[in-house]
Amino acid sequence: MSASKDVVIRTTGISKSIFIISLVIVAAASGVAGFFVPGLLKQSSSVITINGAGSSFVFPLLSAIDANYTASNPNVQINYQSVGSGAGITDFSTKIVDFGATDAPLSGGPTGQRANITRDTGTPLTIPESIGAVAVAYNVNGISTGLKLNATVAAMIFQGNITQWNDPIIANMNLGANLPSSTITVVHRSDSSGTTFIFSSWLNSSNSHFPWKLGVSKTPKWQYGTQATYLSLPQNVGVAGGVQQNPNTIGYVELNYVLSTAPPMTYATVLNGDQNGYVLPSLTTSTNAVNNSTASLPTGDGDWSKVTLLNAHGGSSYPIVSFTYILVFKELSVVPGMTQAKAQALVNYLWYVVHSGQDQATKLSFVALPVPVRTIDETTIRMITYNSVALHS
Amino acid sequence: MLPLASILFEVVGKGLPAISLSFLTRPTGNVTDPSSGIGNAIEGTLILIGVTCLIAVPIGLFAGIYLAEFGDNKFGRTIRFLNDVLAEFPSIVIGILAFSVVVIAIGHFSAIAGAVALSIIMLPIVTRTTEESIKLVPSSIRDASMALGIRRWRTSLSVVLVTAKDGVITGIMLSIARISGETAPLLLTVLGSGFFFSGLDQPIDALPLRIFTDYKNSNYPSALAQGWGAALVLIMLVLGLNLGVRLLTKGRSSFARARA
Amino acid sequence: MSLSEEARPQQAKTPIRKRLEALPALRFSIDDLFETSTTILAASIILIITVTSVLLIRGSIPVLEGFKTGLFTGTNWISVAGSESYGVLPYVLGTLVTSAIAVAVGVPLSLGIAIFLAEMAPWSVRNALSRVIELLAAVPSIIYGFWGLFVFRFWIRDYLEAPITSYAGAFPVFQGTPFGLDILTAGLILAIMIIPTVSSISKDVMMAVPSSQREAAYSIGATRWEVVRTGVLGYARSGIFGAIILGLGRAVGETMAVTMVIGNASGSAALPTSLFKQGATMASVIANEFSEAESGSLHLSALIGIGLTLFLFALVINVFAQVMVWRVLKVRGGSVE
Repeated sequence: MSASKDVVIRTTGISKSIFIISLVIVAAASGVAGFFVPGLLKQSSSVITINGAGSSFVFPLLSAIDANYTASNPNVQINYQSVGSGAGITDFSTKIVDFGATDAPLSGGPTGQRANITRDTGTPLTIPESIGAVAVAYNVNGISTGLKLNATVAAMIFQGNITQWNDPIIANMNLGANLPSSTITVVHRSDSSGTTFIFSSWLNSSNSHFPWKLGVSKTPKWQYGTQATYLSLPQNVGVAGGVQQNPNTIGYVELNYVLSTAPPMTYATVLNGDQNGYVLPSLTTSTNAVNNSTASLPTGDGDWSKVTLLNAHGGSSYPIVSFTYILVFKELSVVPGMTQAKAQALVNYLWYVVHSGQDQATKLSFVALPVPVRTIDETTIRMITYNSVALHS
Repeated sequence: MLPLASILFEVVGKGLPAISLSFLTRPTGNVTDPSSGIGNAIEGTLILIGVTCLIAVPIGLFAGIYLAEFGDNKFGRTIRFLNDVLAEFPSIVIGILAFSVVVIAIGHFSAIAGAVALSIIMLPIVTRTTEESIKLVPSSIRDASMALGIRRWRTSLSVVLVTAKDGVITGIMLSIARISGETAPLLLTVLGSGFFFSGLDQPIDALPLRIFTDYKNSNYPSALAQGWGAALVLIMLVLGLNLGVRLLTKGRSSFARARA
Repeated sequence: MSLSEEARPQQAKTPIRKRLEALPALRFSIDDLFETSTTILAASIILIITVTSVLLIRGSIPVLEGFKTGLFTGTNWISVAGSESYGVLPYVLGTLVTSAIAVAVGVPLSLGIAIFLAEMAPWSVRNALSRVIELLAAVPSIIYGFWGLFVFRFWIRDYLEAPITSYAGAFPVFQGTPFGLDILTAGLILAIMIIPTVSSISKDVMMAVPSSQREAAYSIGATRWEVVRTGVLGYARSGIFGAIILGLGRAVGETMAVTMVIGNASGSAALPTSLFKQGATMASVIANEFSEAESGSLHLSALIGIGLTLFLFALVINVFAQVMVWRVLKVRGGSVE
């Protein structure tokens, strides 16, 4: 085989190493040049694309709002994708998207997310653009919608203090219900989730005799040292399917999911914040909860980590309700790739979201923002600047 | 074959009703709107496959040739070993890798980051199958070619590789089938998009991403139908590519093999 | 010097020319260019692995500092700030068990299909079945996940797990109420997913075996099966091993489909003590938790630590496989010459 080398007639030529070096230089040069040549490799400049990422819960609503916005503003494309609340915060803070969306607000305190982002990049603004509620769904033969629960009993079920459906504690709250003696299977999210954050926050309001031990977070300490039987599935649709397809299960699902799914799910009626009545989750009862809570909202550039709509006052206020937020930087020039035109487009879009965009809410089973919240958002949007010049008067 | 029948039954049964010309060509736009289509997802998947092949196929072919022809030494064994290790990386880790290198470098999600991630997934498969296919070519063919005075490099490329064509093509098509269905790395690198292609440095949509998003929103019936339709389109797309490539490259090699 | 040099007519040697010719072996041919370029491109694999390991090691340093080897042997997985504890052992075992099931079930099936197609089927059947296998390969992994979640797991639960529980439920490996969403289902779905890869490559490899091999075996009086075993499989050993490695790679690395059917247990509850238990693999944990872990947090570092563990896992498995194969099959990875 190697004899063939000598057959070749050698002529003077360039050396191996020079050839390799020049190859590398040419490759690098063409790579760099390609990056700057517009057209195939870079976006053409007549269309403005704004990228956002975050909460899966609010995705259907934003998707509908975005489509409507682009229909009336064809040179602005809003691209919002659902990657999850946590990823939304991370992508926003590392500036690889133009805005983020999350069900859980930025954590506060001197070492919290808000402090870190302010220190490293700039002031983040928190703009609630919709409201979500969490329903407790279950699948027990013979029990239809309306099983009564409160935060304490729910906490006991979800962390395994109560393990059977006919436990006296559940039975005493639901006299007359024909509860079987089967083991309760708890269905929860396997992926990190804003919905879980809201639900675990509500479970945390459990009575101090039976405190919620698994933590308030997007990923609580499920299955750690508890007696409960768990089933862990990804996404809202996974939990919903897990409940519907397996007997004697209980889980938590976003309200807009429960209201628009077929076949319909059975869900619980929950003790309200004032502890004087049981409330079924619905768009109305969620709106009631928000209307009774808007008194103490901070300014857009403030700390929203303590804001809670849970256990709101009012006889028909559903207790497991929460805002979902858009995050955007106050001074937009910190975002790479931002231009005056793009910043203006972003601000106009945000204004649209909290006003005309809310028309999309009800038909998609989302709660529309009440007027007091819209007013606060308007003030916040007016704070947004590009190179220190306000973009919305 | 029962699982296959079951899968196909579900996908075709639920996906076929959703397919129409407007479904295939319109952009996604509003996910909850029945008029939403998957045109941009199809375009995105095709572009990603194209760019990924441009990167991974030449590298894989040449690496496989190296391992088969020159690789009987320590360096070659190391590469072979590392290639097998690379084949076992979960797609999510490769996605993280592409994220840390390309997305951070460009500053935002981009199609090229996705293509880089997919080519890292594709590379070990192409390399390994190329190497094995070349090693199976009987040495009599190589010897005959050299005896005729054809140079080493020409032999490798025009004679040996062509004889090994079937195996190499199988490897490439298997890896295309694999990468066109990968979701996890794309989530971290291309973000997804409701619009048509706008530049390699911009987010782009792809069929598996679209399917995943539709799954998450499958309480809306139009999204559910779209997801199944997209799944059917993806399977047909890959199959079509497969058949097309095989038809185009049918030829001499089968004769050479039977003779030896 | 070579023949050509002496044959060339003598030219007047300028000083530059003298110096050029004095330098050692500067010139090269296209063959050398060919060899060099293939070497460079093959080396890109080393580059990728190096970059990956650097990133993985760098990202894991915080969690390694906190837990040292406890990361690899611990079984807790708590990411709530203030009481964090990370141990990847359950996930390593989960990956091991699911891939083992996948290979144990998938490889024999694939080889059976490949032998049938390569040796026994008439060419029309072979063509048709090959297209069918390509169809199976074209199914995206996420569809396998859905199908597993909505269809397959009920088959497994009702036709496999329920009978087993009633007869052998006392055995530790079959304990637990079968939901159909567990380690066994995940392993079986992986087996189905690797069949197209392993069988198509094996089939191609077997078909490429020269007929002289088969003829030689026949000529010494071997039966049909012996011809296949010695003549074909023997020659195709290395290629089939390659196919199995690629199938194993798919099984170890599969993310989306596994997340949907494995039940996603966490921490010590994920230890695969029973086939019917919910479990988790290294890939599924990363997929579930990566996008939500805050950058710079210990949680993120722990997830990258899983990535690092996976890298080491792949290294160990491959070393083991190479040694096994060398011993049993006397095959050494080598080139043509």
